[in-house]
Formats: sequence, structure tokens, C-alpha cells
Amino acid sequence: MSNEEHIDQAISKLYQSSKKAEPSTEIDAAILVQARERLNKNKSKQAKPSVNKWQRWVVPLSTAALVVMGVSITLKIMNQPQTSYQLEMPVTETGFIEKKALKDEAAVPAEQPAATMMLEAESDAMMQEIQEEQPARALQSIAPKAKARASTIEKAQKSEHKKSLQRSAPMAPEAMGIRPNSEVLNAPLKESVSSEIEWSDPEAWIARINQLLDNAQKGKAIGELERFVIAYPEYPLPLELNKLLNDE
Amino acid sequence: MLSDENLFSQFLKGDINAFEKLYARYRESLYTYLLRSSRNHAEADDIYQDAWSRVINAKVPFTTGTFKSYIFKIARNLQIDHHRRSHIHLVGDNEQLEDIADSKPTMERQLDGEDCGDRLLSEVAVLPYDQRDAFLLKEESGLTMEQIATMLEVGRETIKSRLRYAMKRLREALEDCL
Repeated sequence: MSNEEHIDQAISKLYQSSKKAEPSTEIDAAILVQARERLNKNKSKQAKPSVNKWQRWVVPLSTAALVVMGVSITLKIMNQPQTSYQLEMPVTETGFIEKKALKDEAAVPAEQPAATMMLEAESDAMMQEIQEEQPARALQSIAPKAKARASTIEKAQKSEHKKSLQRSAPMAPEAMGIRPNSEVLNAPLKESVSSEIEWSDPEAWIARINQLLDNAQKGKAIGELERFVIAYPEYPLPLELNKLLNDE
Repeated sequence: MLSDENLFSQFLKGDINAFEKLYARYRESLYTYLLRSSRNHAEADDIYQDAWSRVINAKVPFTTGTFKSYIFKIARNLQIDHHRRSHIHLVGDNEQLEDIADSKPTMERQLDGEDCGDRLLSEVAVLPYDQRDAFLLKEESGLTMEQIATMLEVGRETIKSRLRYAMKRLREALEDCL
């Protein structure tokens, strides 16, 4: 080792032995606080659940897929040839009768509950009487009432049978060999009939036709007869009326 | 004893004690380097705090070199930036001096009865910037000539030459002490 190197080492030793400078305690504290803050910030960042790339794109991708799907379905539906599934009503000369029959059928349920309710009310009243009076006495007093009730029920059954006959689908007049004139068919049904009773009661209607014949109103009678045949195609006509119809 | 690098990576993982140990190791040497290099207390305080702030907020551990060269390089670069902004020339003897560097001639100081230590510091303070920087880096950081050369991005011979000139001036000034 040369003399210069010895002197350099001595200078270095002298420098190291000199008093060192120190930063102020405020600076020390500020730096340590800053270091702690950084670590706390890192901890709070780690605590937050990280959202990966896929999770970030879930909502926009789903929305886009829905839109594409909706548009494609709409386009496909629009491009399909239109098919009509509506059934056409048969146009026949007896159409008006079918319509009337359907109307009546719809009207029946409204009438039936009223009759049923009346009968129910009667039977309730009878049951109350039985409960209130002695059974023996009650039987004696009820007997005539029961008879009257039985006849009422019989009448109601008859009227229902007539109504069901009216409601059954009428056969086409052509099938029966009848050619009704267009005036008769086009005329409203209710107007041609003198009253609602005649329309609902075939016997009364026949009686009415006979009456027209007696009064020498043959044209009217034939018209009524044709309507009658249309309304009650299965009804057995009296011989003279049948003959009249065939002649026409 | 854990190395500086281990302490630093432990700090980045969340260990505040590791940082406190690391800070204690470089507290005096870094501050002394900055103060004797800049010769201005306020400037040394600012740059010292700023340098540690950079270390604290580092996103990733440094990849090359040692922690020692890492923090000294940060401090030195900040000091150069500061001088650039303040338009202070660091290349020669025309630097702005503060109380630390006494510009009195060596003979006068000898007559004033200063001890050798104080005289050495005074002589260091009046060294040209490059020589002073090389001398202080060697003495305060303890880095080898190669490490200093790498840090300053200059050749090893350049650092060797700067140090040789610095030591020559100091030898001449402290002849009666040695």
C-alpha cells in the first residue's frame, strides 16, 4: 500500500468520525405516517372484492344477447307466410234458423234457474212446515200439496220437452223435398208468427194454420205451413196439410 | 440480520416494522449526503422527504442493484431536478453556498483553531460538484466504485478520476492534520 493510499484511508477515517447530520423528528414522523397510510390503503384495496373481466362484461353481454334474440325472433315471425285459422260460417238458406236455435239455447239457462229456484223455495217451505207441525198431521196437510206439486213438475217436464224439440237442429227443407220460396225464408221468423205462444207450441201453430184455411186465406196458410215445416221438420202433419204442402 | 432488499419487500407486503428498520439504517447517511451535497438545510429536508415518499409509494420492488443504490439514486436525481428548476449550476466552484460551507481559505481556518474534522467538512463543501458528489457517495453510502459508476451511468475510470482529484485537494488542505 502506497503512502497516498494511507493518507486517503486517514481522510476517510477522519470523515467517518465527524458528526453526522440528522433529519428533524417532524420529518421522521411524517415519513413513518406516510408509510403506515400506504399500508392501510393497500389493506382496504385487498378487502374490496376484485371484479374480474368476465364479471364486468356479464350485464352488457346478456343485454346484447337478449336484443339479438328478440330481433331475430321478430324477423322470423314477420317473414313467415300468414295462415288464416278462422273458420268460415256455412252459408245456407237455413242459416237464420240455426242462429235462432243457438240464441234460444243461450237463453234457456237464464230461464231454468228461475224455475228451479221457485221449486226449491216451495220445497223449503214444505220442509219447514214438517218441522214445525206433528209428522202425522203434517202428512195429512201435505198430501194435497204434494199432488199439486207433482202435476206442476209434470207440466214443467212437458214444456222442457217441447223446448228441446225446438232446440234440436232442423233438417234442411231441400232434404225433405220442400222448396221454400225466398220471400218466406227472408221474412223475419217472429213477424210471420202471430204470437210467441204459437211459435213455441206446434199444436197451436197447426190450429192457427187451419184457422187461416177456414178463413180462405190459403196463401197465408201455405206460408205459415212452410215456416212450420222448417221449424218442426219431424212433426207429423195432418193429412190435409201434408197434401196442401205437396200440391204447392 | 435481514438484508435491505428483504426488509423492503416485507414492507411492500404490509410489514411496517420492516420499513422502520430500513428507515433507521439510512436515516443519517442519506440525510447527511443530501445536506453536504446541497449545503442547504431546507433543500435537504425537502429532497429527503420526497425521496422516502418515492420509496414508500413504489408499486413494485426494484429489479436491479441494491436498495442502497436505489434510494441514493432517487435522492441524487431529485437533487439534480431541484437544481435544474432553481437554475443553480452544480458543475464548478460557483455554487451558491450556505452556512455549512465556509468559504474561508484553509490558512485562515487553521489560524482560527478549527479541528481537523471541521476543516475536512469545510474542504469537502468547497470541492467541485462532481468530485464532492463522488466523495460523498463513497463515504456516506459505502458503495464501491463500480456501483457508483453504474448508478451515475458513467465509466468506472471517470469515478476513479473524480475521486482521485477530490482526495488530492483534501490531502493538500489537511496536510498538517494527517
